[in-house]
Parts: sequence; structure tokens; C-alpha cells
Amino acid sequence: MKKVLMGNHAASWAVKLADVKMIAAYPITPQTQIVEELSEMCGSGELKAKFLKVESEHSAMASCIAASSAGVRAFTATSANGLALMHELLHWASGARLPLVMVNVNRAMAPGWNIWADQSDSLSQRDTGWLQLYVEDNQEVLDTVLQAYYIAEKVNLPVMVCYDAFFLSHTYEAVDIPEKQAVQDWLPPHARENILNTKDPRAFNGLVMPDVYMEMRYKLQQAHEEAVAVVKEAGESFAKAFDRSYSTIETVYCDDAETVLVTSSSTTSPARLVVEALREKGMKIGLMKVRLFRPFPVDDICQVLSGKKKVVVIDRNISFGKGGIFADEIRGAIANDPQAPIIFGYITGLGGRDITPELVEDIVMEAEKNERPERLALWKGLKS
Amino acid sequence: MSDHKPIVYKNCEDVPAVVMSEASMLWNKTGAWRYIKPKYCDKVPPCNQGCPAGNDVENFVRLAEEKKYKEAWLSIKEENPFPRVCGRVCYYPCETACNRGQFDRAVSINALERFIGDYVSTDTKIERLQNDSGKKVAVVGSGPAGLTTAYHLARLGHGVHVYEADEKPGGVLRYGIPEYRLPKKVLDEEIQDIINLGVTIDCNKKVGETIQWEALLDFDAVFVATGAHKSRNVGIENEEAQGVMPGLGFLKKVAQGKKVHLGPRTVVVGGGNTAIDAARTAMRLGSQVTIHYYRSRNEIPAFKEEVDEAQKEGVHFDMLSEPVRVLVDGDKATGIEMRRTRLGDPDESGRRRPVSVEGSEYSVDATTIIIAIGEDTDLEYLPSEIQEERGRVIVDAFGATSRPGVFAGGDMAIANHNVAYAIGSGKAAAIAIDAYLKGSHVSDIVAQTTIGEYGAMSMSHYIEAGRAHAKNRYTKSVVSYNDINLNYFEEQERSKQTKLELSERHQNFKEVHQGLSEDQIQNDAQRCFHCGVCTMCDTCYIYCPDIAIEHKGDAAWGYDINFDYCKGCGICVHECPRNAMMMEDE
Amino acid sequence: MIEIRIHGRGGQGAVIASKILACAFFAEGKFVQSFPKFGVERRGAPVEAFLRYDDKKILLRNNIYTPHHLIVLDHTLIEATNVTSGLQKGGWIIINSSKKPQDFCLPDYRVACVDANELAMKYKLGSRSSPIVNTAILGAFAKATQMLKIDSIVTAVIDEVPIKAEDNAQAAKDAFEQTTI
Repeated sequence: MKKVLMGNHAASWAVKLADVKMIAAYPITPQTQIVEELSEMCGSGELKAKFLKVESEHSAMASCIAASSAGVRAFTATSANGLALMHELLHWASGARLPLVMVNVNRAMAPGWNIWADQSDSLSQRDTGWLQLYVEDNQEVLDTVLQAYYIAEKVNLPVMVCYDAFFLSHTYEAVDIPEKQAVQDWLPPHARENILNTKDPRAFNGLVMPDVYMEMRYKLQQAHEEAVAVVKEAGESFAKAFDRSYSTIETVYCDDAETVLVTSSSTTSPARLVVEALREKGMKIGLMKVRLFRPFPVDDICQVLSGKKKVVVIDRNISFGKGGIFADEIRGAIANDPQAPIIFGYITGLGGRDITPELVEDIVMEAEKNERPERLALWKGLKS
Repeated sequence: MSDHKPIVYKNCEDVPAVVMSEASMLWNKTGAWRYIKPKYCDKVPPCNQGCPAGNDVENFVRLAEEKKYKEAWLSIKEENPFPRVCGRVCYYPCETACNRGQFDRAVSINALERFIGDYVSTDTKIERLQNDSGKKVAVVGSGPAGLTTAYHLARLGHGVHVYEADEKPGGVLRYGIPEYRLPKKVLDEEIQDIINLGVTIDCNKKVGETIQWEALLDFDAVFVATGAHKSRNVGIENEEAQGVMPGLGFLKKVAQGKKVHLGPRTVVVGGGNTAIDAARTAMRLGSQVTIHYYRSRNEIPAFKEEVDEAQKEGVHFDMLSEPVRVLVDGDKATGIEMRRTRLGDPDESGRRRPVSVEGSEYSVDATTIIIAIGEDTDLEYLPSEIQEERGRVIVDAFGATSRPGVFAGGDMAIANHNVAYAIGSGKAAAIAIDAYLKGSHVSDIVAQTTIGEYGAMSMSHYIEAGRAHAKNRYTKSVVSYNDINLNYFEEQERSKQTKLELSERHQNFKEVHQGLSEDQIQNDAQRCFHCGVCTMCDTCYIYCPDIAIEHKGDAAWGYDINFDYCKGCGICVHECPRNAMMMEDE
Repeated sequence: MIEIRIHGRGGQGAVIASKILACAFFAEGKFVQSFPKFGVERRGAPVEAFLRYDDKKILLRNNIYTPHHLIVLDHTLIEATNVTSGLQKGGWIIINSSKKPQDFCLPDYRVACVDANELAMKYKLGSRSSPIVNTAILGAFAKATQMLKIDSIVTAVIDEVPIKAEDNAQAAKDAFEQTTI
């Protein structure tokens, strides 16, 4: 069934199809419509879940941790400062190895108050142990939330699905909504060991001494490393079931490209138009969309970028004092490759400023013109 | 799970991914770390110690909270035959003692007692505790002390014969306390419970007149409690004039249903409870009433609440005034000459002594003058071998007089002239008489029967079979406000009794206090701290870091402490909201 | 690709109008994208909503700056704000007004009018203080631009309007008939 849905409602639909049993809700623009729609679904009875109104995002995450510890599928959604307020509990969720799913609608951090698209909120939670997926359109929102449960429950790690404020969250597009039965066939009911159980009472998340803590961290890292393959496997099996394919990254015209443009989230869409146009003009350019940010698919990325002349990364985010975070991650991933390309890191579109095809082309052509970047963080679109 | 030893992870593979207990800690017998140990130890709640009648207040409040009103009533009746009377006329020293009073306001114990008594009423029969002993005891006087002694002695299996000088039993309860404070029907029903135990009440028998003292000596023991109802005279000119009457005499006439003509203006001289009762009674009979008292309102000895009610009802107060002489027209009183006083230095009672202000005399018109400046005992009928001092029979803590086998109680033997103390003294004497009849010595059981450090005697302690005071029978330690863990309590409003509308209080003797509803009772019962008495609130159970505290199981009362694991940290004792635990040496 | 901008006041239903129009185009096999002016809204204040449709997947993720056509839910906005900003020459301006197209001085554009307020009143859509005109005006849009069938509008209205769907659909049909060009 195809329906014209806003990105936020695509997320709500996925939660309903995944048969989530506990939804913790605390409002924040631009996320609110997700839980608003879920409250109506719970209210009408079409979704049989506990809809829990909480008093803060911190409590929302705490509730999800509790529900997941008891072995049910849990969900919450947030943005920006709400996500920041969850920070401590994000560590808790991953450390406790809970297969939670959360949507973060990427919104700029305040102050100055800004409710528009910017990835700095979720990227600041990079080291909390959560998987992070950045998606491009409303169809991918729905599909990825479903895959997130599949992945989370295979690796026992929480997954954050991120997409841009307004450009997706409030934008209506046609979305193919899978049949409930098909989803149930593809996504098995959640069942796992090591949950709270009165018949086998145990203490959870207690003291871990130095002689064991490091091993547990090692296992968490191992799980992340294994998750790369699981993300691919989820994408492949999803493709078999629903005919839409996903992976850790997506490449366009990269095989013979000399320059590769790297994007994430909704920025990928105009980049597709630009790459298509430049190819028509004879330029050897390709596009790589990074969908999985944590774990960072180092091998997949290096395989694409090794031997290229130039890599141009567009970041709608910033790590202050360094630069664009995707660019920096790529530099770190490929640093030891003798055939590492020159990497141009561009920062643009912060706080919801438009990223038009013209802007993307401007970035590509500037990088094409220069042999090396003048500095690590190049800015595009600043008022002159 | 393994109970026996701690798990040691030898390699990375073994370490679990999830932070989760993999083995029990039962191998770790933390009890070996202990120096001192906790103990469940109920203590005496201050209300119990504070009750002159020796009620197990905490126990009946708890039973009321559980809506076990009959059990609550039986608990009171274990100690006191008059819950309905006390629930009305007692000035509740228990509430003064109540620790909750320092937190917000005391629990409404008095109204709770009234509710329990009224709720259960006469449906339930009181049982004798022991079989007929064959012994006979004479009780002289059927006031609260005499009837209490009779009640307990009958329960203990003795034959009791009560001699009462008036035509009906009850003494001051019947003839001194007005109907609007204590309906006669309530009194009659509680006296009936005593008669039902086999007690004979022989009315119109006054010792020294209709029956001689020597006749009493045929009994195995004698208890005398003839009260204090000889009204004092002021000693002023024309005090014998027509229209001048004593306070108690006036109240008695009204109680007997006799017609008393007061005229339009009544003056009451005095500031005690009799004065206030007389004033309010006169007001109800349609007279304008002024109370004259020779100190100020601060020193007035009557219960404050009664004084306040009198004022609300329209009784006037003329403080700092003393009578000089009764003004007469022939032999008929027409008024009274009064004189101003001022307050001087405190006397031995701590109250400031009134000093006459010479030349400040003034006249007050009155059709009736009621003198209520106090009552004395009448001990003339007693043989000289029974020693007296300052108008009171000399007795020990149990009411024993200087003559073996003769005991005394109530107003004629104790300093505190009020109903609850009279009940307490009657009970103490019953214990002593029982011991005397059995040939044992009460001196051996003083410590056992005294509630707390200095409270009344407990019948339950004495017979060791009662339900009341069962949980704190032998401890002397009384819980103070500082012993309560206030973190566990929240302020909560005290239930307030409704009172008869002021407009309803004229020309009738309807009861003023209306009691509390069941909802209000529940509210106030829940306010009780249960000082020093375990309520199985589970605080200890929840706090024990070694899970060494266990429920006894099968709904049995209390907890077991598993000393294999109790490490003696004392958290349970520290956290107990009501100080029902203590630490002791190993 | 065609880009359309809807002007209205907060509460008139501009955002829903753009969504219904997107659904109607989608039903006719187009790729669609509709969105509100990103930001904060306030009842009565000028608001904008946007719509793109195309025969292929729409990959733009930015605001509309040079729309092909306009829908104006409140004709007073034409004086109050610069509604034609960026509008491409020859584009349609569909205005909710009891006036005639020639009453508006918009020489570079094609103008169509319909009295959607009256239709809202007729079918009791919204309240007298705040008539809901977003469904009626879509009928006029279909009539004037002929870019889609009135039936597609009617179906989309019935699918998307939560209350009084039939009355709203009828208002759109009436508008289709009453549009002056």
C-alpha cells in the first residue's frame, strides 16, 4: 500500500508494523508527530502497546531500558537537546546490551534556539555504544526503523535511526507501507535470554571489577564489529522480502570515478542530481552515501575510496575544533592506506540552511579546482 | 546457580556480555562479620503510658485502622469498662503524650475510643476470665473507681457487692457530669456490662446510715471509693440565704430530673470543671450566666475546651473577682458583692496567687448564686484505724490502706480528680485485692504491671493472658519523639469532631460533641505513628543489604533474622520508622 | 518538475491543502513532495506551504524559491505580502476571493478566482470566524490549471479530510464549477 506520508509518520508506521510493546513519549520538535501518531494508534487499539507519557527524555530512555530489560520491544524518539539529556542513559542502554530502537530527528543544538536540520546532536552521541544509521528519504525511514529492530535484536545493541528535521520529518512523500503479515514473517517476534525474570531472579548491571570490565568492553566492541555484517545481512534479507535493498553504504558511479562525493542523510538526494549532471558533462565523479555511521563501516568505505584522487565530504555537522565529523571519520579510517585520496571536508547546511544542487556543485567544482584543501574544515555557504 | 564459591573468569571467552549475576552469594556468610545484632523489640508508646486508665491505646488505634472495631473494643475493655464514657468525658492525656503532636497534631485518640465504643455498643458480651473463687468483696460507692474495681474483680472470678448511697449507680458520672457531655443512656449501657458479669449494685445504701461499717467486714475484702462531693463553702455573709446553692448539688438535682428554679440571672463562683458544668447547665435552663473567678483566664483549672464552649454558648466571664458577701432581701438572695483581685506571686501550684484590691467592691444582681469552688471528701464513716491525711485516705500505689483487706481509690484517695484516674485507681485496687485474696504480694508485681516507666497499672500485664499490651508487656522503654524516623511520615490533617450548633444548645441537654464518622476515624487511625510497635511495614525487610530479614511466612506475625547473613550493620534498626527494633550485644 | 506555493494564514489549512494536492497528483501517477514552510506557525499570521510534482523521483531537499504557480487562500495577502516573489511568468495564481480576476492587477500572470469563503459557509466548513477554505480552492486549481482531474481532487479530499469529508468534496466540486478565469 502506497501512501503519502510525512517522514515522522513513516517512522510511526514502522513502529506499529514492528509490534513494539512499549513507547515512551516526551515531545520535542521536530520529532513530536512520531509519538503523537503512535498515541493515536495505541488509543484506537490498532497498536497494542503501553504508551507511557514521561516527564523528560531522560525518563523516556530509562523507561525504554526498563521495558527492554523485561524483554519487550521498546521505542522512543527525540531530537537535539532531548537526546543530549539522555546521554548518560544512552551509555546505559548499550552497556546493558539492550536491543532498543530510537529515532532521532536531527536538529541543531541550542543556543541559539534552532529547530532545523543539523546532525551535530546525534553525532555528539557517537561514543555511547549505539548503532547509528542516517537515512535519505521517507521510504528509507520506514524501512530502516524495521531493520533497526532486526539488527538490534541480532547483536543486542541499541540502534538510533537518524534523519533530517523538516526535509524529511515534515515532508510528505509517497511511502510503500509493507503488509503486516509480510513484516511479521520477516521480523520474528522478539525473544531473548538474560531478561528480568521472576522465576530466575538475577541482579543486573551491578558492579564490575577492573579484572572483568575491560573484557566486557572488548565484547561490546566485538559486537559492533560484527554488527557491520548484520546491517548488510538485514538489508539483503529485507530486499528479498520487500524488494528494496540497503547496506552500510551506497555507491553511484564510483567504480571508475577519480573524485568521490561523500554525503549522508537527505543531502544525498541533491548530490545524486549533481553527480548525474557532471557525469553527463564527462567528469569522472562518483557518489558514496554513508548510511551506517556506527559501527563505522571502515572496510566498505576504504574499498570504495582507496586509489581515488579526491574525496569531497559534505558535513551538515561540526566537531568544534576539528571539523566535519564524517570527513574526519573517513580520514581516520583510510589513514594507513598507501593509496589514500586527498580528502576535502566541507561544512555546510548547518541549522537547516538549504543544501541545493547548486551549492553541492559549487563544492565539487571548488575541490576539483584545488590540488589540496586549504584547511581541514572548509566552509561553504557562509555569508561573505 | 552455584551457591558455593565465587566465580573467577579465567579467560575472555567466559566473561558474559551482559552485566548480570551468574552465581548466588549464599556462600558468603556475611553473618561472620557481625559484632552486634538487631532485635525486634516493641516498646511502650507514650499514649499508653499517658493513659491514666491504662488503655493499650496504640493497639486499639491499630485495630480500628484495620476496621476490627470489635477487637478494638475488647482491647479497651480488657483494661477499662468505660470506653464510651471515657470517649466523651476524658480530657485525653494520651493525646498530650502523643508523639504526633510534635509533628503536626496528635491523633484523635479520644474520639476514636468513643467511635469504637459506640460502634460495638452492647452487642458483645464481656466474658469472665476466671472461675468463681468463692471470695466476696464489698465495694462502697459506684462511681468510676468503684465500678471499675467491681468489673475487674468480677472478671477475676470474685463475688462483688456494690453499695451505693444514691438511688442509681454511677456517682459523679451520673450526678456530676451533665447530660450534654455524657448521655445517661450511654452510662447505663456501660454499667449494664458490669452488672452482666454478676456484680450486685445495692442502691440507697449509705455506709454509716443505712448500713454500718462493721457489716462490711464480713466480706473478704473491702474497696471504698465514695468520691468527693461535699461542696466547699466560701465562708461569706448570707451564704445560707435562699437562692444560694452548691455547684454539685445543683448538677445533681438537674440530673435527677428535679425542677430547679434559677430565675433570670445566675452567678457562678469558681473556675473548676464543676463551675463550668454548672454554668452551662444553668444557661441551658434559660438563665443568663456569669462566672466569677478570682484569677485570670490563664489560671482557670477547668478543661480549656469546656471553658471555650461555655463562652461560645453565651456564658459571661468576670475574671479577677472574688465574692465578699451575698446581698439579700429578707432571706432571699438578690445579688452578690464582689471585689476585684490582681495577680500576685506564684503559689506552690505555680499559678499566680490572687491578691484582693481593697476598695474595689461592686455589686452584681443575681436570682441564683452557685458556689462551685471545690469539693471535699466525706470520710466520717471510716473507722479511725484507716489513716487519713489532708482529707484523703492514705493508700499505696495499689490503693491499700493502713488496714489490711481495706482498699480505697478514686477522688477520696488520689490527688487527680478526674474520671480516667479514678478508673486507673479502681483497676490498681482490683489487682491488689485479687493478689490479697490469693495471698500474694503486689510489691512483687509493681514493675510487671506498670505501663512504661510511670504509667497506670495494666490488667493484661497482671493476668498475662490479656490481648491488650501483649506486644510490649515487659519493656519499660517509652518511645520519644526523637526516636521516630520522621522521614517516613507526612503531615496529615487531624480529624475534627462536629459539634452541636450553638443555636441548638438552648432549653435542651442534647450532646454537644457529635463524634467522628468512620472515614474520619480511618483518617486519624492512619495518622498513628505506632510508636515502638512493629506494624510489619517491611522497611527493615526492604533495607537489609544482605537480605537477612525474612517474612515468617504463612501470614504469621513478624520477621525472622537469618544470622548466617545478618552482618550487624544496623540499617534495619536505623530505618525502622517507629523504633520497634534495637541493637544488642552478641 | 512543477513547483507550487500556497499562501494562507495560520489556521486556514494551507499545509493540508498542499498535502491533499500532493495526494491527488500521486493518484495520477506523479512523484510528489509537499512540505510546510519549515518553522514555527501562528494562527492568523501569513503561512506558506509547498508542493512539487514530477514524472520522476524528486531529489531536491530544499525550499521552493521560484514556483510555477500560486494558490492564495486569502486575497488580502496579495496586498499585505509579496506573494508573487519568485513566481515564474505566465504562472497561475488561484485566489480565494469574491472579486473577478480582472480586479487584480497581476499583468504577468494568469489569475483565477473562486469565493471559497462562501462555499465554506455554505457547507459549514470551519466557523464563521475561521472558515476552512483549503478544500474548495483546490477545485478552482483543477479547473484553472487543468493539470489534474477534479475527480482526483475529490478522492484525495475524501481520503485525507478527517471530518465532513463529503461536504469538503462537494465544496471542491462547486468551486470547480464556479471558478472565474
